[in-house]
Amino acid sequence: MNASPQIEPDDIRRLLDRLLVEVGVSQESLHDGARITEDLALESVAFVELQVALEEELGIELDPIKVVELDELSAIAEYLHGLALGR
Amino acid sequence: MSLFRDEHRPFRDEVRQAIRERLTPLTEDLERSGVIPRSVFRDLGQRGLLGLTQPIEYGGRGLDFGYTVVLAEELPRCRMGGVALSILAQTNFFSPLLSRYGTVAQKSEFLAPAIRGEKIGALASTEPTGGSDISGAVQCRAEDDGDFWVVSGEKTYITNGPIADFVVTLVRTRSDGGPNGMSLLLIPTDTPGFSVKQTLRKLGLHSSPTGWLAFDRCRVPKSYTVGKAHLGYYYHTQNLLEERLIGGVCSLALAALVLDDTITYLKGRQAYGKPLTALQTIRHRIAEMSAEIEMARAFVYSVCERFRDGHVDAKRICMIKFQVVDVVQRVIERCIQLFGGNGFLEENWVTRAYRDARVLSLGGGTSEVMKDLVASHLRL
Repeated sequence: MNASPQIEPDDIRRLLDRLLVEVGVSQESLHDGARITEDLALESVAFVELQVALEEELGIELDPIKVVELDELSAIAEYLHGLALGR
Repeated sequence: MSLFRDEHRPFRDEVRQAIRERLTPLTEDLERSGVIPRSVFRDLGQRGLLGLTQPIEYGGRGLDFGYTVVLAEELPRCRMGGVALSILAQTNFFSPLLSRYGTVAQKSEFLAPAIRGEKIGALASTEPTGGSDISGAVQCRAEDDGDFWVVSGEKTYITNGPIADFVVTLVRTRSDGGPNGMSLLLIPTDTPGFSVKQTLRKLGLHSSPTGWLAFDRCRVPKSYTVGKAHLGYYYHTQNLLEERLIGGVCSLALAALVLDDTITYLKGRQAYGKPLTALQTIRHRIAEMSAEIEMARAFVYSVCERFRDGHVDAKRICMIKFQVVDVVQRVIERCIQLFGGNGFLEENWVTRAYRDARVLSLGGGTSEVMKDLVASHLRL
């Protein structure tokens, strides 16, 4: 996926969910309120892989601390959408 | 923009002078005793060298990262890897964590006196039962007790631990394993239950005190939690990148210094009626080492420039941590060979550099772990 001005929040959320599954998170646990640090039990290497995948797919540079501080999937998706739009 | 501007040059002179006047005369004492006097930290603090990039309101100088690079490049000139490490531990191990995530009260109580050199700090994550795999290794536990954490466990290989006034300590604050549920706590070393179990004897870095620390039900106010509770692992691993980058800068400068001294020695030594530097095998060997250092430096500087501009290039920093370190160790080992028998003498500081450099592929994350991290960045 290439980031573009037309990219929608739902696209970002679908991408985030897909990449989380790719790094080992179960599809069933991916609801809006799910917290990345607690509910998804992401291991350290999986977290690095997720970060790299998001950066490559969206053409962005994200702040991993911001991601864990936001914690909830819906908030992370919103943050990523902002980055993808260059905000 | 280049890493260095004109104003970095007089600063380099300033640091070099401070090292020559304040550290070099102490070499024999520090290498023998293994303890850096507090006066060294206070003196460097008074000269403004312990808070180069830290906020001015806490006594820092608010300068750009290029100044830290200059400091890290000049410190090896004291020809004590241990002292360089201990000073960089004060400037770059825990200080950025406090600066970024600490509260105003924490910065006033711990960061500001550390910048002045009045308090010595340490950063503790490694434990006797596990090291580089931080997320799996941390067993040091903090139990929730109202307004306090009650900390029990041990930490080891802690630079400046035996002389520290406080230790920023990575502890587990949730019962589940993995990276989630760790916190960074500021623990003053006069807290009842804290002890230095052992000052560790090492192959090298003799002038830097390294500690095995124990925490026996230490009651730590929750107000001493750095950043948000349970996110300590992420703060720590992000901060480690700066530590690894500046370690790469410093170690490369060490190798360059060893090579310079080796060349000086070879120019003054004769074999077969001419200086050793006239022999083709030696000329080629020096050319190879010089090229390796130059190429590594160009790579390190490029990552430093991006770091200064706010881009933390984790993949390339991990590359530096194993690849540049490999160059450094190889160059120093080859220089020892070029020194001949003189390279085996204790009085030749290059032997000390050889011992000191051995830790570079171990401390701050082993080379093997760095390669794994790079592989993760390559999505292998």
